[in-house]
Amino acid sequence: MTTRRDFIRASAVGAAASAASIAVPARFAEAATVPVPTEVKWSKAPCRFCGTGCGVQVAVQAGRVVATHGDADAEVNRGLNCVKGYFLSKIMYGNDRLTTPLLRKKDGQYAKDGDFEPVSWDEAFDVMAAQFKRVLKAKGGTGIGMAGSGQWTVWEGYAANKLMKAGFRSNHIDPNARHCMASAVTGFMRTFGMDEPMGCYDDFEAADAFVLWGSNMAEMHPILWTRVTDRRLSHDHVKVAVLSTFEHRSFDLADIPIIFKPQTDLAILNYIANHIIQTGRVNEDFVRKHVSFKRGNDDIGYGLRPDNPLELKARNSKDPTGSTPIDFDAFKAFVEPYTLDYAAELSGVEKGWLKHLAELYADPKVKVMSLWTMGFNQHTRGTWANNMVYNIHLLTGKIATPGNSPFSLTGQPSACGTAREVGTFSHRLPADLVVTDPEHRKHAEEIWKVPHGLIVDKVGYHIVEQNRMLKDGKLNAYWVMANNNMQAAANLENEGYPGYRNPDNFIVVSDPYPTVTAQAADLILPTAMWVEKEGAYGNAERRTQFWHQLVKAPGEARSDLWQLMEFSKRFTTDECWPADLLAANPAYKGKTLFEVLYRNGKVDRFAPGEVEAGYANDEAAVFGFYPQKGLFEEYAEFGRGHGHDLAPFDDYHKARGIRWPVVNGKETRWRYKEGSDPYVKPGTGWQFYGNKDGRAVIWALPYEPPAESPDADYDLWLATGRVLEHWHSGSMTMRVPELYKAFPSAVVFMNPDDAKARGLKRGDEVKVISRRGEMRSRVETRGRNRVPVGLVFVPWFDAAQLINKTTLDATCPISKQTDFKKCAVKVVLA
Amino acid sequence: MDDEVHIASFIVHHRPDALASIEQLVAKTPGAEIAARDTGRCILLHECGGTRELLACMDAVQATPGVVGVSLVYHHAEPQSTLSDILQPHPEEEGRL
Repeated sequence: MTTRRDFIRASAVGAAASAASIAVPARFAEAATVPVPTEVKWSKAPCRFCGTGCGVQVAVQAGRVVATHGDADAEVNRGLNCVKGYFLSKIMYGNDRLTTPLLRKKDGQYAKDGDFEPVSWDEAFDVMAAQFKRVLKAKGGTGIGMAGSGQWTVWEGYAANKLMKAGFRSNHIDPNARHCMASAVTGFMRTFGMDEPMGCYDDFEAADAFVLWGSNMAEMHPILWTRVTDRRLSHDHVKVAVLSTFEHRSFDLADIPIIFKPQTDLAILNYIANHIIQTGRVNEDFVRKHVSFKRGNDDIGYGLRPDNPLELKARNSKDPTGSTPIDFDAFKAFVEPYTLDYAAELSGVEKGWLKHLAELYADPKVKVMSLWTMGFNQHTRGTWANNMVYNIHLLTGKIATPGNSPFSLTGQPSACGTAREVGTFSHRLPADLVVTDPEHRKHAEEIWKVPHGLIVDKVGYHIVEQNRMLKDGKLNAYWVMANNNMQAAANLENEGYPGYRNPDNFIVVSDPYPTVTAQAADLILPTAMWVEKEGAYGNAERRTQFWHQLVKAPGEARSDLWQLMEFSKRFTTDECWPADLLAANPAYKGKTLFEVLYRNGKVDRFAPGEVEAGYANDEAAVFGFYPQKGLFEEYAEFGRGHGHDLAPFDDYHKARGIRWPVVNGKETRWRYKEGSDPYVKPGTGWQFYGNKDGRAVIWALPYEPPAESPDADYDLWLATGRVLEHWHSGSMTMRVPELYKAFPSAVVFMNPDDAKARGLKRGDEVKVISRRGEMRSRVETRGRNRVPVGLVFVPWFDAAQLINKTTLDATCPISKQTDFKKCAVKVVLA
Repeated sequence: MDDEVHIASFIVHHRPDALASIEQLVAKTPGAEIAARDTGRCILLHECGGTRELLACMDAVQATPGVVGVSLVYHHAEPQSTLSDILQPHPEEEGRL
């Protein structure tokens, strides 16, 4: 006789056994076969959090998401979920969810120094449009900016890009993804001429060695970590190397554990290149046929304000991307000083470990997967670090074949799909096109059906610069969507907050919750999230995934897509475009931005009736056409036939994601390799076709010191980062009671000796102080992270402990991505 | 929610020699059992009174030397009273997170 308890227990075991490919024990198998009648509707969606792109099944009952579980049919996670993904549905039901627009008012009028009052969408957009028009009149589009997101759906990012770059003629649109993987992008572009990884997650089951360069996958990409773990524990020959500036949970699996001094990863990378060359293990055939060499400009500064002494002193701060062609011998000579002795001395790592690490790459029989996230990318030489890891894969030809895979992981659900592929950066257009190239602009203008000469030819303000320009009064109307940049950006008291509160500026924040950023705004717009709208994300392995709208957003909350399109109705081309351009193209005169951008005969060509039966689509209902499909199909024109091919829209609603390029209905797992990539010509072996000569570039780049290091006054390194339970700024996960309880407050992870030397003990309240600001926290000398003497680690998820008051806004001068891993602080008893 | 029962399963990845310590821990944890074993992995079934106990169990397993990962796969909660129903189970949708 089977009871309900038996059945549930059997289901629990069955789900785990199927996820792990373990046979279900007989005593559970029988009970699990009881048929269960069901009234809830289950639908697929990708997880809302990181860039892994796990598939989840979402249960909806009576208009509410009641359960989620890992999707057993999803290739990425095969039924598994991490603890964040597990409590996913609760992110939509926080008590302080915003349900109505809120405007700062005094005496019934908008006032910068007023208090937030609920207003209608009409009033919100009236005031907002008046403010944007004030700025347009005074300065044109250059006074308008937008901070977007790798959490935008594909079509929201695309619609925003059009509104800014074609509508308002402003390139000052940049995603929070700039903080996350801009260095990965510039690394890809400089080496391969084309963005995003060549390999895919299938590499996890094929590699003989995994090297984590500045990534704590155990906590930040736990599901991918289970794939590394499975591979390591079921194959004795497999090795795992973990490199970091402190010991974290990923070290539990490490065969080669390496704690290095901050910034010296650059020297270790050059040592490995040198080791490969000196031991005669260069894959000469591969290098001769598929690689070219360049020497990059050095002494390139730190991406600080131009008048900073560090920038004035740097020889190439104005030309960080410059380079000169060299040959193999010149590269060999360049890395020759990076001996084992030198690398060991600089990094503080024992020579034996460094040699073991170098041998993983040098040994031609070992297939290596290199993995990295913020340790590489949030680095004042982040682009270089990316280039340098490709160097060692290219020297050995260990690339683009199963298991040989330099792999950049991402932190946001659609950093790849939206921020990068759609090109919502201040220098980009879709499909790797850039605003500075006249041919690229022309191509974009044609697809968008807007007049030639409309898109501005100058790179706009990146997200770090946007804060500086708000403070300086150059940017005056600013819209923040799907990010929490006040909490996320470095040096917030000096560069972030003053700009938002600058009386010349009008700041709009669209968010589901009253984040730190929203509270610093003048107008807050309540936003629909995740399955409250139809969406698409692109994960780290080029996999594009769709989901349907499953529930309604609460109250007056509306999707970012609705907000962008609806707001565009309040502007005419005459208010936004130059008179001579309109005189030459009179058909556009007097039209609204909505008409020219979204009612353009392309975006509006699919009827609401094409939405799959059984699913709502609030935007299609309002606009009278199916905007998600129209926007996607217009966007897909950019990439089809150019190596970024996307499948037809409807295919994605059926599949558990498809990896681009999708050619003749087939996805691509390994790019640039003959046989697996349809773009590679037969007989060539490999073709790095992002570069005109088909060759990838090996870069000669040196070790250079960080922007700020500990000294007598500020004697500790500060590295910031994340914890398993919370995702980035915590605006969603801190509202899930279980996750909140599991890790309620940030702490300062400190070495016990450092604590003792300062008269501190575990739990003491302390101040973390830098040259830029201070914040209060508590000392933690135990727990999951064990930091070396001289370094403290502070997670940044906690809105009550804003560690970014202390961080330095130094960036990689090429990628403009902030280095959140290295600055100098002191810690004293509060 | 005093009478709620939570049933959950986890996949535990561990070094093969850590299995004995995991077994010891599980033996000490009320409602927990190892449902299946494989090299370097096992499935843990846990029945308890709430998410707090559930997360505490996950944390304790995670903290065991040699354990490299704990993934929650399945979680179901419902009132104690309905769990002893025979054969005609309530639909699964009653399971709330």
